[in-house]
Parts: sequence; C-alpha cells; structure tokens
Amino acid sequence: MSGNTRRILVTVMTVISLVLAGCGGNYDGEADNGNVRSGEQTKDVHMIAYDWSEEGDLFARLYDDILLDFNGRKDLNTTLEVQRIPGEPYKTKLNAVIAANNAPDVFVTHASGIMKIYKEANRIQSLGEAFAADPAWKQRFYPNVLDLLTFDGEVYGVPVSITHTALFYNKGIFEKYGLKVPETYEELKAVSKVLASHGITPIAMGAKEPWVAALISQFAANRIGGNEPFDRIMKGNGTWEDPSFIQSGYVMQELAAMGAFPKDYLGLNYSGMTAMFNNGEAAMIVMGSWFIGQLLNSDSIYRDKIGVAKFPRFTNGKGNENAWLSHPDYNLVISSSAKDPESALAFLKLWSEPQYQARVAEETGKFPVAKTDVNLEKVPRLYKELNELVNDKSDMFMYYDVGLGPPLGDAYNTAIQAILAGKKPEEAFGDLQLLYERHN
Amino acid sequence: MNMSYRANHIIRKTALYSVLCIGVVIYLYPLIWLVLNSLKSTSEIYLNPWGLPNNWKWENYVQAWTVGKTGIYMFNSFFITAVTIAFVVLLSSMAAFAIRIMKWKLSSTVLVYFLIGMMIPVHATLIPLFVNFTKVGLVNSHLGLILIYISGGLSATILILYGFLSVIQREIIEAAVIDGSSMLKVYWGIVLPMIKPALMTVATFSFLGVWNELLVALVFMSDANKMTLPVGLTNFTSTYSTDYSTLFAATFMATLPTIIIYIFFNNRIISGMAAGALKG
Amino acid sequence: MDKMLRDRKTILFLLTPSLLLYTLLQIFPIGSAVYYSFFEWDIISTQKFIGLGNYIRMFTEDELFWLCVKNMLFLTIVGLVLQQMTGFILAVILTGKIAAKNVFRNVFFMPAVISSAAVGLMWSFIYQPEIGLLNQIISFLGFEDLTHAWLVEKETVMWAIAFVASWQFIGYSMVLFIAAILNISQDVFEAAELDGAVSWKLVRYIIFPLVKPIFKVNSILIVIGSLKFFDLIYVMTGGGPANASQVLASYIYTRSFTQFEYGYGNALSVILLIMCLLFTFISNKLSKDTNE
Repeated sequence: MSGNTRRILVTVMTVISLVLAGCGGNYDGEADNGNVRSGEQTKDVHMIAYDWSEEGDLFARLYDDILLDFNGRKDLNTTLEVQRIPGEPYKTKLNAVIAANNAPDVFVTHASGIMKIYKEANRIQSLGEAFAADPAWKQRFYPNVLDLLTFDGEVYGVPVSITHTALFYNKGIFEKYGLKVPETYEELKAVSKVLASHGITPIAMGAKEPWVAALISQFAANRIGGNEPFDRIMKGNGTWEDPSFIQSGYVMQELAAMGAFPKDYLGLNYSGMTAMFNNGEAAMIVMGSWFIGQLLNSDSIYRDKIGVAKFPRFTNGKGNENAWLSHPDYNLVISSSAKDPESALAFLKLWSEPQYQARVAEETGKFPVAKTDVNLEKVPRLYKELNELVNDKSDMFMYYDVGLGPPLGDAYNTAIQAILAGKKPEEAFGDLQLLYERHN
Repeated sequence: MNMSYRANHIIRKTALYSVLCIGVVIYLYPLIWLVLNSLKSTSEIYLNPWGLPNNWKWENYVQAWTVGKTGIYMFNSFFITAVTIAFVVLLSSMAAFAIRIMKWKLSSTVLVYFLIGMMIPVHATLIPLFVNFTKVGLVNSHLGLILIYISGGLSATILILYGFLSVIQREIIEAAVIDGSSMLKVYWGIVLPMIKPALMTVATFSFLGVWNELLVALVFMSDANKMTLPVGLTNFTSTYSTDYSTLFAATFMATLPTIIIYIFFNNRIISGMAAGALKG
Repeated sequence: MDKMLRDRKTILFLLTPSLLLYTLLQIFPIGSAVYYSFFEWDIISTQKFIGLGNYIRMFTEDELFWLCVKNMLFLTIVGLVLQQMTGFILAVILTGKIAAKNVFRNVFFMPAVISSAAVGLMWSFIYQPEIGLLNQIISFLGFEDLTHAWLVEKETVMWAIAFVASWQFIGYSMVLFIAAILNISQDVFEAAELDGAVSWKLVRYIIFPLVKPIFKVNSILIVIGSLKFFDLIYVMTGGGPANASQVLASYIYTRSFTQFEYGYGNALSVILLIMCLLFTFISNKLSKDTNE
C-alpha cells in the first residue's frame, strides 16, 4: 500500500473516531480530573474536594446536597467542587497530587494509620484550635469516635459516619432449611455444613481482594484473644506470633476446608461475592454496615429477607460477641495547603449537624457519629436492627489495615490471603512479625 | 512411483493439513468466539456459549462505545499513537542521519549511547518517571505519555534507520550539495524519500508498540477519560465484572484496528521483524 | 562538501531533540532508580535513607521476590520449549509443498500484533470455570473431572498463563525459522533429494543444523521477553491467586503503585535492570561465538 493510501486510511479512521467520540462519549467537557460537580460560582476562592464514592450512589447524593448547602452560603467567599475517583485509583491519584504539592483542599481518608502518615508529613491541618474554639461542636460527637483521628492530643479530621461489621444472613434460606442464626463458632460450622450439603454457599467470601478475608480473621482473633494482642501491636510492643492470631489463621483454613466459602473464592472479587449474596446463592456474608446502603441500591429480590446478627463468639475465647469491629469509615481532612481553611472547616462542620447526620442514617444506611435525632420510621429496617444489636456493645476494635496503615496493614491482609492459599499460619505470622519489627 | 508410496504420501499430506487446520481453529476460534458472544446478551452467553446468537444484539457495541467509553479510549489511543509515530520517525531519522551521514568524532560513541536504551526495560525507569512527572504535573496527561513513548522508541528506531542509511551512496549526497542544497535540505528532500520503505516499517512497528502498550499507560493515566484502549479494557473488568457482552464488544473493537493494519501490512511487519532478528 | 558534512550547527540541530529526550527520560531515571533504591519512601513523607536495607530484605526476607524469580524461570523454560519447538515444526511444514502457505502463516502470526490486554481478556473468558470454552470442551469430551478453575488454582495458573504467552508469540519463532529455511539455498535441497533423503531425514540432518543459529537468537529474544513479562499477568490474574502468579514486573507494580513502597519498588527495578543487562551481555557473547 502506498504511503498516500496509508495516510488517507489513518486520517479517515481518526476523523471517524473523533466524530463518534464526540457524539457518544460520556465526556464531561472539562475533564481534567474525573467527574466534576460544581455549585454556584460567583465567589472568589475556589476549592476542590476529593471523594471516593461512586457517582450516583446514596452517599454521593447526600454529599451533593451538603455541597449545595455550603456553596449557597452568603457569608462565605469560597465555593467547593467535588471530584469523584471511586475504587483503587483513589489512593494512587491522591498521593500523586499530594506529592506534587497540588493536593486537594479537602479530602476523605481512613483514620489512624494513613491519617497519621499524612500528619507526620505535614500534609493535613490540625483541628485542635478549631475544636478548642468551639467546644459545643466537639460535644456533638459520640464518645470515642474521635479517638482514631487524634494524634498527640490533637484531632486531625472529622468523621462523618461509622461502620460496624456484622453477619448478614438470608432469612429465607435459613427458614427453608430450619436453621437458626449461629451464635457460636461451633454453630456457624454446623450451619455451614447443612447449607453446603444442599448446594448453598454458606458464606459469600471472595479473597481476591485481601481485606475481605481479613474481616473474618480479625473477628476470630478478637473472639479468641480479646482486645489486648492487637492493642499491643498498635502500641508497638505486641507480637504477631500471639496464639490468638495464629489460631485465627487456622480458623480461616478450617472454614475453607469445610466448604464454607464459595468455590474458587481466591479469584472472587468484591462485586462477585456481593452478587452471590444478593441473588441468594450464598446464605451469609460478613461485611461492614455500608453494605446496607449497597443492598438497598441493588435490585436483589431478597432485600426484605435479609437479617443481621452479631459475629458469633468462640466458646472458651477471651472475647465476647459484644465486641464490634468498627471504625469511622469516612473522614474528612483539610490539606495544609488549603486555600481557605476557615471555609473548609465550615464545610466539615456541616457534616456533623443533626439534620445531615440523621440523613446519613436514614438515606445511606451508614451510622452517624454525632448526636442526632434519627427518625426511626425512615431508616432502613436493617439499620434499625443493627443499631439495636450495637447498643449492647462493650468494646470496639478497628480494622487492622486501617489501624496500622500501609504497608504493615496491607501486609496483614496479604498474610491472611496467603494462609487461605495454604501457607502455615505460624509461618505467615512469623514473616509478618519480622516486617513489624523492622518498621518499629 | 508405486501405490504404497502414493498412499503414504496422501496420508502424510492429510495428516499435515489436519494439523494445520487444527492450528487454525486454535488460533481463530477464540477471536470468533469473542465476536459471536459480543452479540449476545450476558444471560444468553451463560445459556448458549457455543452457538450463534439468537438475537444479534448490535446495541452491545453501541453500549461499549458510549457508556463503556470505548469511543473515548479509541480516540485517545489514535491520538497518542499518531503523535508518537510522527515524532519518533522525525526525531530518529534526524539523529540517524546525523550519526551515519554527517562526519564528526563522537558519532560512533553516540550511536552506542543510544543503543544502551535497548537493554533498559521500561520498568526500571517507571517509578522515577512517575515521581518526577508528578512533580511537574505531567502525570495523567497525554503529553507526558507521548514524551515517554517517544523517548522509549528512539533507540531501536535509530538503529534500524542507521542500517538503512548505510546503503545511501556518497555520490547522491555530493550531487545534491553541488547543486546548492544545504545539508538539511538533503536530509529532508533526498534522503528521507529514499528510505521511505524503512520509515514505513518503523512507523508500523511504532504503531503496534504504542497501540498495545499497557504498563506505562496504566501507571500514568488514572483518569478514565484519558486512558488508552489497553488500559480502558482492564478498567472494564472492575465496573463490568459480570457484564460480559459489553466487555467482549469492547475487546473486539480494541483489536479491530490492529487486525486491519495487519491485513494491509503483514508482509512488511513479518519481513521487517525477521530481518531485524536475523541481523542480530 | 566535507565542511558541510562536518557542520556543527546542523549536527546539533539534528541530534539534540533525540539526545535530550532520551537522556532525560531514559538515562536519568535509571540513575534516580538506583539512588532511590537506597531509601524508604511512600511519596508523601520525607524519604528515609536505609542503605542496602531494601536489597537485604529482598534477598533474605521477601518470599514473594523468590516466587517471582521462580515464575519467571518457569515462563522462560516453557516459552523456550513450546515456542521454539512448535515454531520450528510449523516453519518446516509451511516451507514444504502446502497450499495457501501465506494464509496459514498469517493466521499463526496474527496474535502477536494484538494487544496483550485483549489477548489476556479473551483467554480469561476461555479459562472461565463455568462458561469458558476450555471447560466446556473438556466436559463435552466426557472428562468432567479434568475441569479446573484454571486461573484460580495455584497449581494450574502458571501453566495457563504460559500457554497463552506461547499462543501469542509462537508466530514470531515460526516466522524466523521460515526466513532461515528459505535462506537455505536450493542447491542443498536438490543435493539432498538426489541422495534420496526422505522428508524427515531432510529435516533432521539438513534443515535443523542449518537453522541452529536461529534457535540461539530466538532463545535470547524469548528469555528477555520473559523477563519483562507484565501485560498478560496483570490482565488475567493480577498476580493472584494470592500472589501465586507474580513476576518481577507485576510485583514492582504492586509494591510501588498499590502499596506505596517506592523505595523498595526501585530496588526491585534495579534488580530487573541488572538481569536484563546480564542477559543481553551473555547473548552478545553467545552470538559472537555463533558467528565464528
């Protein structure tokens, strides 16, 4: 083919694709960074917030309403615009812009581990003064929710919701086989056996994303050894070779060996496993309470037949069923390079206001962190039930990966994944201990 | 020839052709399977994975193009590839000309300098490039990606063009200079046209290399609207984890341009590749 | 004329753009990578100098590193055997008296020009346990218990990937061998036939020895290609299940861009670079010997 013909071919193809891309794409015009949502714009200062929610989901819609409220305020000279980057890319993108000294003015992050890293790198502002100047604001928060955001006595972020991890189950399936919700580990195993024999996957668990498997192992460790082993890890003088951790590894292997997990669970990701639960292929799932919102938003026909329960206790374990795996799952921080910290603070404060905290509960199914009057008529049924269960709580412990932050937190998750793939728990935790010692 | 030899011959021929045809099936069927299934609805794929579609759902392609952003990915890939090819061909031909035709002491040294690049795997430069581009704001931009692709394609291209320039005789250049042409005009007006086939070969290889590139594009493009096709395809699996039909449609559309280029240029590609490897 | 050929300004004009881009974006980063491999860095905090810490960790504590090396070796060996053997056989067949040679040649080469992302996705579907082609065929033939979740079981995953890699690149080997066989002069063939050499003897005693150099060159290409392998693994398994299919390239990616250990990632890159340099060096030595 001559050069001319080739050039023509390429030009034609380019033109065609340009035209089609222009007509068809979901191109949001000024797409410099993902989807952009802006408010009214006649003010001088323009700030940017990063959000990891999926555009259009229940939480994002609440966020947009709060944004409207904020941007409509006459006493502030700043507008705020949110950019949504759902999923894995969020971390990479956020850290990249921070490293480039081009951080967003406000962004969401996990508490504890990673927030501490941002604080030590001087990337986020302390809210100590802000809280001191407005004690009423601080009082609004439930006791202890600010703990994981406090470093050296100062608070560095504002939690917006809290999540509790529980055992969700399909009441229809349980009734069909005459099963009772398991309250002990032994009962869990028994129930799983029955379900498996009828071809139902007992627990929807997909370990492709390591943190999912870690939910169960963290519960197991806490039920067996209580809070202390991990508390000591967090303080720096603990050991991963504590028997409760090693035992939790064996628990995972035991459950896997008896068929409690889906076939090929090592290759199953989050959406695959929730789909399994939502369409009745699996009877149980251990998940954080954000799942309530997702369930409501899905088209599952079992939506009204889902129940929630405490994660079973282990007879002879030091822990009990009233210790909850919880943490503030959505925390807003102000970047140290924020253009208008005062306004940013005002935005953060909006989230703790009673009417918005109530909406967190009523609309998104997540749990509020500040005192509010939740209209129990409006909240999702599952929220109500879980709320009652949580009222008994005696203790809270946090996700290990959130508590430790990267890279240790990720190493824990990977260790659990490796144990499920066959590695001996002693070995896996031994290696983890080596890593832990090097980092301390 | 006796009968048994003939029979032997026929058996052997049949065996050979069977092997070849089985090979063709192994090679073409995955593609055909992909296309057939891209025209079914996802549920039909589960029920009838082998056969022809019952309803030919052309809308899967529309869906992949618009909602699935394949159109955007295609445009990005075209744009980035076209710009990269243009500059790689231009810059490397200039450099090869300088090294091969012009006379200066360090010419061989510089050639070797460029050749070092052929031994460097992109992974070794990836992190520093990412960190530095982040600092100057070139991450997540088409410009940044193009610059990296150009710089990565220079070594091999300069080497190939250097080889082709070796056959240009001095006399031709002398004649042009005597006629009053400057060296640059010689480069542009005489030498370049003479090595057009080589430029085409090089352009084709560049096209394949850039169009299909995954790792660098993956690291540098986090914005769905800026992604190239390979990255976009991998992006698909997270949001469309169970919507296979759209994914198949997108995959087929992604491979179509390379197949078209291949149909037109396969001779050039294959001979260029063989020549390159045989030369050592 | 000679003066024009030596004209500094022209030379600089022609050379500078390439030189600049190449040096800035290929050479300097190598230096950076080596430098930062001695640090611990998560990109947002300040770097911490730890000397050889990353390397010590890699060689003594990091099992995953050795798993990567093992997987790369596996891919290389399977690749060498499958691609060379099948490529050679196909080349022999396709240089014989077969009709539609070009059609066959083109079909077998085609996957090499398709992006690995697309190839990986296609084969992920084929390997899918429930609706995938492979298990369907196996069940159809009656061997139900031989079905597997090919990409999820750690015993089968590397074989599954290695097979796809060969599927994609056998065409390369085939084409090289075809070119080499076609290079053998007709005289040799005629002489052999006069001597009464039957087809497969022809292959064994004439063709094979004469294309041995190609085996060598091709081996180098396959080895270096296996070192850099990333695309198929990322697309088909992401390194899973539970990191069973990690190779250096994908491991570098995971450590740096998902776990934010840039210092360690750089150290891994440096090791990969050394491996590439080493093999290129060895290959140059070997091909020099061949040419003698």
